[in-house]
Amino acid sequence: MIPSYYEFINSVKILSGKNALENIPAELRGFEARKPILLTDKMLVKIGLAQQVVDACGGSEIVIGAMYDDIPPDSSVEVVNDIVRVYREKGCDSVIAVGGGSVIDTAKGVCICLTEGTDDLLDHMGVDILRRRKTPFVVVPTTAGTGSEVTGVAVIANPAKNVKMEFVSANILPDVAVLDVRMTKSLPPRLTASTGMDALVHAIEAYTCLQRNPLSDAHAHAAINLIRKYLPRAVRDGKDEEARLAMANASLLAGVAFSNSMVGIVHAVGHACGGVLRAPHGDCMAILLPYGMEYNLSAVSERYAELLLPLAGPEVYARTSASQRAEKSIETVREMSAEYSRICGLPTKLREVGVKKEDFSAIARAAVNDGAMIVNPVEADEDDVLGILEKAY
Amino acid sequence: MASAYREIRPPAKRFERSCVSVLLWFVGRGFQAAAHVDKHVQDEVCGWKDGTIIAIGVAPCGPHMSVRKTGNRLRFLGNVKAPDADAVIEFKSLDAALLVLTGQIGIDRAYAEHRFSLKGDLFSIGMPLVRCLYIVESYLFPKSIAKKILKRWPKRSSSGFAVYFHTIFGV
Repeated sequence: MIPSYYEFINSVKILSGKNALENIPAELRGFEARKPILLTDKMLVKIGLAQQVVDACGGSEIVIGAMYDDIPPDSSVEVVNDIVRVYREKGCDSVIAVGGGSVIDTAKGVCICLTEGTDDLLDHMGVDILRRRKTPFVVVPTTAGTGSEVTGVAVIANPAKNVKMEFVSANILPDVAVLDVRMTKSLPPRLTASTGMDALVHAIEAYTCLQRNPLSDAHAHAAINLIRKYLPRAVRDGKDEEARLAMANASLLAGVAFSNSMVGIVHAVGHACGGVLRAPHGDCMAILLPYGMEYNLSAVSERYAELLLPLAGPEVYARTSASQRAEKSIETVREMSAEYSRICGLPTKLREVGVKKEDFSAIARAAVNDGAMIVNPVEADEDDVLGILEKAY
Repeated sequence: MASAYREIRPPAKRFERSCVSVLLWFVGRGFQAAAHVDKHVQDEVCGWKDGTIIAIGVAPCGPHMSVRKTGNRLRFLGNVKAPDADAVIEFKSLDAALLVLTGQIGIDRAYAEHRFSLKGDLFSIGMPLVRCLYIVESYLFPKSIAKKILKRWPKRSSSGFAVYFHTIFGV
């Protein structure tokens, strides 16, 4: 069914494949920028990925104004404000983010502050209120899962409230996303599986949320197809460049899908687990996905039935009767998690990622206040979330 | 030759503007009334710090209404956009506001369709506000309309009569 009204945007230029990094200077030239600040984290500096981006800019007029690598796994408003200070001190004119979701979301926060001319991100929380970004912004993802390189969403921790704050606006979309397998080849199997499942959750929730539309559907469908085909290969052999590039594209496709359709209860509960307990996001997604799907089954069973095709492939889809396809989709997701658990130790229960029963009420309270809950196809209160947590524990 | 092309001013939509203004008055008074008589609205509102102001209206200079939390209650401040509001929901057009305020679409559908912007803390104010509006809608709209636009019938602890009485005659 086509929505009576919808909006869709993806204005990000995508550079995907061989020597993509080397085209960053040409892209910056188009914005008349020559002194970017490079945002990354200490681990990526240590394993040489940040330096690869610096080297790729070699032989051009580009000067890296500063390499800020003090971004923690859960970035915060304080870090954003500190980066803005360095950006101004060094006279930078653009931003390159090299990293996973935390680094990219931090960079989005920096761009918000620079555009709005403020030092305080807290002044600009909300939905669809930001002005069009002025700072040229290039993103180089180093994981294949968050899709942050193409999303108009930034999630940044607010330690004072012990939650992650949400900023939603098409005006924080980056200008350029660079997908280069050199950035993801070194990801260990466990992290590859975890981030890949995160992308799968983005696609499945985007396909079933109230905000879905024909264009987000197409992106989600394509993402799931790639994940089914290439995630097992990327987990088993990290040096498989075709699988790595396909997963980078799958993550991006899922990102475009959920940026335009939003995510639902799996993310609401997952964000809450991360906000309350710092539980790893991708692991929480993989654990919670089948339980979230079960919760929404009554409202979106037709959509889940359609997803069996990309999730399990044409043979399984054809031999499953139409009335059983929705449940089969959930079963397929469970089998995928179990398979990655066997191959690389991906957790399948919340207790394995440090969640404790005494934290359930705090998680449930945070989950119902997550913005993702608005567009979930089924309403959920704290008791409903507690039910999901019990099952996933 | 440029003078041959005259400036065209689109219609002012005074009727729609008046309708939105009246409907926002009902929402504001209804919100105040629901917070007076319904425990579940009180539970949602109690997390807001005293003095929190919520404004709902049409951007950029259409009709607005504001309510302020005072103690355990909400006080309707009138058809105004309080300049120091902690959270502001602004519909992008008069027509978008009418879609919601006349019960043609729910708050969640309006969010999904980008019909409004929300300035402020989505976590501590925005989501409780959305749940309050679900309850207020369930009181103010006829049941047949409310059931159509609500994903699930919200928990309530009062009657439509009580909310309507306090909406019209005040609390």
